[in-house]
Amino acid sequence: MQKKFLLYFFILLTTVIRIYGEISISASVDKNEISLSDQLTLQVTVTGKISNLPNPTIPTIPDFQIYSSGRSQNITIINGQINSSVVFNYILSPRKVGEFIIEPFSINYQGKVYQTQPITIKVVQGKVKQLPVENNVYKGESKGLFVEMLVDKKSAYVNEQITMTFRFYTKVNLMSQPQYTAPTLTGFLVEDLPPQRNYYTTIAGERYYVSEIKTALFAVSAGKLQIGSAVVRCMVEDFNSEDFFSDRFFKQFFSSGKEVVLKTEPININILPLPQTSSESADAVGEYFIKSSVDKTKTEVNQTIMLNIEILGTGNIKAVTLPEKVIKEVLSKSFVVFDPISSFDINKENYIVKGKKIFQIPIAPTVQGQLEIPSIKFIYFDPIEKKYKNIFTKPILINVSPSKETDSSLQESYFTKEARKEGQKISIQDIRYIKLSHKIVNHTSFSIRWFFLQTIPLFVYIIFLGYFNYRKLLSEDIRKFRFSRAFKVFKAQIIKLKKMKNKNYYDKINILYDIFTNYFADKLNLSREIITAETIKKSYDKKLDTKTIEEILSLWEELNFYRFSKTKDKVNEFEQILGLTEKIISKLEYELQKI
Amino acid sequence: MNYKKYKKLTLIVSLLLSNAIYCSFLEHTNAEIKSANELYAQGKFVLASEIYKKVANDLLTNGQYCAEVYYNIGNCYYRENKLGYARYYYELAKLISPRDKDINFNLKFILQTLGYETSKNIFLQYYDMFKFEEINYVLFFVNIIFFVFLIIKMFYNEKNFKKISNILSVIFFILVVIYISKYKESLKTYAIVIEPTEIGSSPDENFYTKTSPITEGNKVLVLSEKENFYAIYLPQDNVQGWIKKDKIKIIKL
Repeated sequence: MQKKFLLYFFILLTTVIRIYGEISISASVDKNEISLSDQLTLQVTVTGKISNLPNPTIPTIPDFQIYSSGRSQNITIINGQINSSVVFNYILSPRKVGEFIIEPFSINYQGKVYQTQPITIKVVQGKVKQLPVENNVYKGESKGLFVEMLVDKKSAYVNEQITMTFRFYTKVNLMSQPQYTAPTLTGFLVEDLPPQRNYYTTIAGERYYVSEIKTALFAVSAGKLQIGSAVVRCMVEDFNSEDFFSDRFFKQFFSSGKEVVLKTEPININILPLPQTSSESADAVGEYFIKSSVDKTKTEVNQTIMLNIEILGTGNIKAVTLPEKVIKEVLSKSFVVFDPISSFDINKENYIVKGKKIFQIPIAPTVQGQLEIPSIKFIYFDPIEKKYKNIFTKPILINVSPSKETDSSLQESYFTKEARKEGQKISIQDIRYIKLSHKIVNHTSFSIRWFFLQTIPLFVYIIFLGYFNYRKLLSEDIRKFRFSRAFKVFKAQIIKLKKMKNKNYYDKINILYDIFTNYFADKLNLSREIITAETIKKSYDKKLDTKTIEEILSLWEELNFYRFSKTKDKVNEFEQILGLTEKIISKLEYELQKI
Repeated sequence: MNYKKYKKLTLIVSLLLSNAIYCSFLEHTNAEIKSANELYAQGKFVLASEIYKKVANDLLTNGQYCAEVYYNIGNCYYRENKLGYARYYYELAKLISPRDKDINFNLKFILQTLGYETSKNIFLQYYDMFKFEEINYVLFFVNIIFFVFLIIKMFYNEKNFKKISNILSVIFFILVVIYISKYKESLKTYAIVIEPTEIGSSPDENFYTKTSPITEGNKVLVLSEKENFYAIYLPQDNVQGWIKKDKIKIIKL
C-alpha cells in the first residue's frame, strides 16, 4: 500500500516537472582551432517548451576577449504547444597561444541547473590550415558543376531595386540535395523573388541543369556596399580514385561520394545618394501613382471619417512613407487628424517588386459646412529619369453638419479640460497600451436557481400578508372572531385550570362553569349572563344532533348541581366532570365544523 | 486502521499536490503573459497574440478568465490592422470587466475608427456598466430588504415608513425592469464580423445569392444556424440574411 502510494506520488510529481520543466542548453563553436589573429563564433542555444527562456550565465573566459553579437529568438506554436529557442551569439578573440577550455554555460530554471559541455579550443601562431574550398567560374567544370552570382546593375540609387541572380549549374548526378547559404547582404533590405526557376542550358556544347534564385535588394544608404559570397554544398560521386572499382559500372554501386563546396565571388555595388535639392525630399524611389478617397462625404462635426490614400507603383513598396507632417499641416485647420493605419499588397511578377500601400487616416471635422480635403502632394525619385517627381491626390469635398451632441463624448476625449481652457488641441494618438498587470477570476455562470431564490421574499411576504389580513378580518367581524376563537380560548383555560393546585373543589368547579358558559357566549356572540340551557337549546336546535344537545344540557345541569352539592369524593368528581366537559365541547366543535 | 491512515494521507498529499500544480500553472501563466507583453513591446504582435490566446484558452479550460488578456489580444489585432478581430476581443474583455476604462476607451476608439456611432444616453451608459450577474445579486439583496420592510410596515405603520417604502418600491421596480431586460439580452447571441463579407439570401452554397456587403467589425444578432451558415440580423440596418460561419465570431466566453 505504502509503495503504491509512493509510486502514485512520484508519477504525479514527474508529470508536473515534465509539463513545466522541459528545457535544454547547448553550445557550439564554428572552429576548434584558430590562429592568434583570428576569432571564432560561439553559439549558445537554449530551447524549451516555454516562451520566456532564461538567459545563460557566462563563465569566466580569461584567455579570450568575449563580445556579444546579439541573440535571435524563434518561437513556434503548434496546436497550442509553444516551442521556443534562443541563440546567443558571442565572438571570441584569443589573447594567447595554447589549448584552452571554455567552461560550461549554465542556466538556472525553477531551481534546476542546466549546463553545456566544456569546449576545447586550440590557438596557434600564424595561419590555420583551411579546408580546401572549390571556387566557381568554370573551375569545377571538370567535375561538372559550378555556381555564379550576377546583379542587373552595379551602380544604383538608394532604395532602387537591384536584382541579384544566383545560378547553380550541374551536369552530374548529385548524391544529396544541395545546401544553399545566402550571401551576407549588409546594408540592403532584402525581398525574395519566388519562384525558384529550374531549366536546362547548353554551355560549350555541354548540357547543364540550372537552378536559379532571384532576390531583390534595396540599399539603405549610399556608399560602397558588398554582396558577400553565396555558398553551395553538395555531395557528388568521387571520380578520382584509380583502383579496381574505379570502373563506372562499380561506381554506380560502391561510390561513397565526396562533398563539394562552391562559392561565388563577392560583388561590389556602388550606391548613389539621391540628388540633393533645397526643397524636395523623396517619400519613395521608383515609379508611383496616388489616389485618395473617403468612406463618406456627409458627416457631422466631431464624427470620424476615414481618408484613404492609396500609393501604387514599382519600387520598395514596404518602405513607402506618407508625408504625415504635410497632411497634418494641410488638414489641421478644419480636422483633427489621427495617426494613419497602413497596409500593403506586394506583387513580384517578372521579378519586379511592385504593389500598393494603403494609408487609412481617421479624421474628424471640427467645424461645420462644406469642407475640402485639399490635394496632397507625394514626391518620389524616378531612378530611370534621374529626377524627382510630384504627384497629387484630387481634392475631396465633405459636407459637415452640426453635431447632434452639444457636449459629445468624442469632443470630450479630444480636449482635456485644462487644454480647452487654453484653447489647445490635444489629439488622440492611439489606442491605450496593453495591460501589464492582470487579474484572473473564476468563471461564474448564471444558475436558474436564482429565479427561485428571487421569488422567496415575495412568497414570505404573501404568507405574512395573508395572515395579517385574516387577523384584520376577524377583528372587524366580532361575531366571527368570537366564534372562531371560542374553542381555542376554551382549551387554553382548561389547561390553565388543570395547573391550578392551590384552588379548592368549589373554586375549580365554578371556574369550569365559567369556562363552559364563556365558550357558549363566544360561540353564540352573546353576553355570558344571558346564557342559559334554554338559550343553548334554542340556538342549536335542528342544527346539531339531538343527542349532542341533550348531552350539553345534561352537562349544564350537572355543573350547576356540583357547584352547590356536598359530596365526599370531590377530587374524583371534579376530574370526571372536567373530562366530560372536554369531551362534549370537542364533540360539539367537531359537529359545528361540519355544518 | 492502516487503510484509514493511508486514505487520509493520500487525501492530504493529493490536496497539497493539486495546490502545487495550480500554483505552478499560475506561475506559468504569469510568465507567459509577461513574455507576450515583451513581444508586444518589440512589435511582434502576431506572436504576442498567439501567446495571449493560448493563455486565455488555458484559463478557460481551468474555469477561469482574465479581461486583461482579451484586452491585450484586441490591441495586438488592432496593431495588425485587423479591426474586426480587435473589436471581438475588446467585446470579450468587456463581458468580463464592463467598467474598465481602458477597455471602454479602446472599444470606443475602434468603433470610431470603423465609423460607428458611439454616443449613448446616460441611462444606456450606466446600463452597459453592469453585468447580468451583478444585477442579479443586487436585486436579490434589495428584494430581501424591500419585502422585509413591507412585512415590518404591516405591523408597525408609522409615517416615515411610507416614504422609505416608496423609495424602496421605485428602486425595486427599476431593478426588476433592468433585470428582465438584461436576462432577455443574455439569451441573445451577438457576433462580430471579422472579415468584410456579404450577406446571403439562403444557407445553401448552390443558391447563395449575395444581397448586401457587410464590413468588418459589425456587430450582428445571431438568430439561428444551419450547417456552415448563421442566420443574422443587423438591427441598425434592419437587414436579415445568412452569413458564413468563418466570417463572424460569437461573443461568448
